[in-house]
Amino acid sequence: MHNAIEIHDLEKTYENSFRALKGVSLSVKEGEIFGLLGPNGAGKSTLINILCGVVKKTSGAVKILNHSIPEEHLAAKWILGVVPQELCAEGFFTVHQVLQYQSGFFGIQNNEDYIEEVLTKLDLIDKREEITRHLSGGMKRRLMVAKAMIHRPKILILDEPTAGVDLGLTVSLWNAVKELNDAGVTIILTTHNLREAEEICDRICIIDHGSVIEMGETRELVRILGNTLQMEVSLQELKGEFNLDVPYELERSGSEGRLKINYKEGELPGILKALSTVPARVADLKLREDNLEDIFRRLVGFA
Amino acid sequence: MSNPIGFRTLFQKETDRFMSVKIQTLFSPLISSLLYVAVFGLPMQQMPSQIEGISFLEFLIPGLIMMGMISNAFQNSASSLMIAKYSNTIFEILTWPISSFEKVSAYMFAGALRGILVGAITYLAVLPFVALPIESPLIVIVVSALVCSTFSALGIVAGVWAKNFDQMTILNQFLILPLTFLGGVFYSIQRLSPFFQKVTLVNPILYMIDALRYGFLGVSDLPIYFSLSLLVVFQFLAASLAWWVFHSGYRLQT
Repeated sequence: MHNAIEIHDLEKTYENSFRALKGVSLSVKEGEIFGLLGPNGAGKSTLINILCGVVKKTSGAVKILNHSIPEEHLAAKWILGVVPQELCAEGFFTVHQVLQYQSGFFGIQNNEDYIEEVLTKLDLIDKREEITRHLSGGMKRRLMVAKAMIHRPKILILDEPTAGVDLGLTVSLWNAVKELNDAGVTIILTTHNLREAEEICDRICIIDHGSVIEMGETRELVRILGNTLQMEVSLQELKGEFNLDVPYELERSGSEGRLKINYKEGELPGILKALSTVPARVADLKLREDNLEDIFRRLVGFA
Repeated sequence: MSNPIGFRTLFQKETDRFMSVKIQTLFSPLISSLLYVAVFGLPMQQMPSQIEGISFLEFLIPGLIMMGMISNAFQNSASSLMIAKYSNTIFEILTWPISSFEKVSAYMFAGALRGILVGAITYLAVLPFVALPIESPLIVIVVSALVCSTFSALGIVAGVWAKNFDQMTILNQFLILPLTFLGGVFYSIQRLSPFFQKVTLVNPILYMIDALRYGFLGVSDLPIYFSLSLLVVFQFLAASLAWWVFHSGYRLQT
């Protein structure tokens, strides 16, 4: 498979001498959903903005489907769709007009059928004739996604698409994204919501302070880095004191308690044995695998 | 890779934009022109201008038409870009697969169209007060097209350059407006002292007004072909500057 995006040793230092990217190298395969994760100010948006031509790179090589940036950016723009992070809407035109213009900018003269399809898919059809400035925040976000996909781009870039968005939109947004991906569109997204990334992304790149910290297939990342398991036990009718020979945390209020135990694979039998010595009735027991959030916190170091 | 549909769409959008607020963009400039006619022109209607056989009102109107065309052609691209800045959509310009040449042309032609429409409406509106003939329609058309596209190109530069509406006001009120007023809207430069005649000769707008006046009246202070050649040069310089602004990413890319 080809690479949709190839980035090698990418550096960006802004005019105020802030070094946003410190030699980032990564590649995004054609047809995958690629997640860019990191805390605020990690460099995610800088990277994305270099891809879509809003920010100029300082050095390094960037290729979008084999078009070098910035030399061949004009050719690359045909195949990119971008959903920016900040909400934006111009005041003069209706939702339908905006999508017609957007189609035209990308060289499509009559896009009516697809415009209707996208409006329906993103639940915007009722707002078709509304002036974009009058839309609510969530509706503006939908419009931005509609605009980004209206020319059927081969690569769709979403910068924090679910920031400040309600659950209903999040679900219809991810459905639309998955559908596009099934149709062969490469998706690149940045997000804070790690659970979301874990669920939707094929591969993930974690960046912080302008450098790649970890990159790989989502499941692999969770497997390799997430080798810690957690058990949560609800206790009732707790009598007296006790001690376990494994590390644990206990929150106790009267005769009830909550016990948290971190353990590694293979240690479960020993823990269950230790549990049987606790002078209480086990009301509930939950086992949890480390998720991306835990991994992320550990990697970036604000656990 | 050229994108003629993209160019046409951008031109269409910029045209639709000013057409959707016609009162503000086409008819309010008319009011100020008519007021000038009422205040300066009508009381002095019978007063001869410096030029033989031409009344003051006839002399005044080409200048007023030029004033309306300049400011509206400039405003169109300038305010479109300023509004895009304030509504966070300016970055979109960078994401379209449209070349800088096509983008400049689209903004420029749309702004020029607005300028020319304002000029035409002003001309039609003053006809009841003064039967102003058009001596050379070709010169009127060529001069209007050159001047309007020059200023809509400058509007692109200004719209990208200005960081806020204050800076835009500085350009409008402290540069373009004085240059227009001092460029001979109300008087022939022959009325000025030799020193101020020389000073006025460095004002580009002088040649624009003078050339348009020639188109209407067939007489002018300066040789018409000299003025026309200068207008072509101004147009080329303004359009090139606008192209450079888009091409280099000046103040648009960080």
